[in-house]
Amino acid sequence: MGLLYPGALAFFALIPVLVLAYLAKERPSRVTVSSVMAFRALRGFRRERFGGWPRLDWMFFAEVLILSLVVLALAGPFIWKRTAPLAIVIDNSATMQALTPSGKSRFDVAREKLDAELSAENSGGEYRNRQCIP
Amino acid sequence: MFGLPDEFTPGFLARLEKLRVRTRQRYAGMGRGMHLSPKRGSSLEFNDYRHYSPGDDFRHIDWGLYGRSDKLYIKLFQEEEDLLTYIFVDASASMGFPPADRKFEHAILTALALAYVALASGDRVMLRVLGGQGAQIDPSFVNGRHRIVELARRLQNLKPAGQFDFATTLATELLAIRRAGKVFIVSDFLMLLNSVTRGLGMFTAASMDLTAVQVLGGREINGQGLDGDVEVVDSESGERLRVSIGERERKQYRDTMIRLTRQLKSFCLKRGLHYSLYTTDQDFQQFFVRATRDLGLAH
Repeated sequence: MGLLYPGALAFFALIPVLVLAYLAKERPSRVTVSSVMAFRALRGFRRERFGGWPRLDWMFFAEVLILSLVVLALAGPFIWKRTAPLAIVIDNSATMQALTPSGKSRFDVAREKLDAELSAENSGGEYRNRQCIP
Repeated sequence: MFGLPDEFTPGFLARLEKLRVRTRQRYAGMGRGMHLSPKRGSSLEFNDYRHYSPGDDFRHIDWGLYGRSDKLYIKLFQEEEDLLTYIFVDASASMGFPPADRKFEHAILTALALAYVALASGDRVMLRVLGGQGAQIDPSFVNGRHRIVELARRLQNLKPAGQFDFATTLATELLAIRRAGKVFIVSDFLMLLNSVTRGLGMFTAASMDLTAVQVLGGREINGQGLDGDVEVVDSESGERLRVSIGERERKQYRDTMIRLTRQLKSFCLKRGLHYSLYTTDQDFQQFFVRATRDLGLAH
């Protein structure tokens, strides 16, 4: 596997920026209330919460995932295909046009055998038929 | 209307005039009125008999009883006097928060409506302000329904500010007022229950008939306007708490507020006091009609 534009990975530096943006957003707003009596019961929740400060909710993780995918897409990843090329040459000279007892030319018989062999192999590979007309 | 807040429409005033302050015991007043007094006097309400003594008014001799018993008895009647009504308005800083609820304005409306009920039924009213700034409250009784405008004007420039110890302040007030009667305390009662119970307990110990009117903001009791991570600052003590408020926390906050109001209500009912809760999202006039009994008023 390789990357067409590895320099695009520099955009991963945006993730800490996103975290900082969340930290700034999570700074508590100050509100004056008549009495804090009823709020005392709520204090436990912060300590119980996994991850503590700041509150990184599902939205944060979704944004990190989307940003990572975009950066990867910009980097242009590709996969190397390790295949063994095989060249098959069929004689296309005039002698190959001689008819066999079945009534087909030698060339056609050779091509049919070749097709049958390649189909039987079922390798999933591709092949190109290049003809060279004398 | 005539210097009164807009809520005091002619229709509402007429409704208030049909009410009167109810007490669970008899109090001596300062003049003729509509409440039975512990004193004996000349009303139509029969009270007791006593033996005739030279110098008694002949008109009070029960001649029917003389015919049956051959002894002279004097009929004694109950005196009817006015009721001394004390109205305390909490003007501490907490009454100003949250500003959107206009808690203090509603507390003043409640105090004025109670004062008008008392004045309209011929009682004397003393309005007292606990804390606050900008008030020029004369610590004397007023009587006559026209004096309601004067009371409204005195409260006009009052702003909620400062803090006070509820029990200590009420103890000082109790020493100052001396004569027993009906007491209304209009406050948010957002303070330590111990301080509240001590304060109210002193008034009941002094034979006062007490009504606690708790005024809370509609947004305040539901925790509206608070979301996410919030640093809440106590308006009076300046204490700070950092809390995270979501749906679950808001519900817990609301439950706590309701529990606090129930604790106060429970204390009041156990001690034979009247208790009424008014939240500012209610219609003020409707509240007064619905909560007549809870406020210690009667038709």
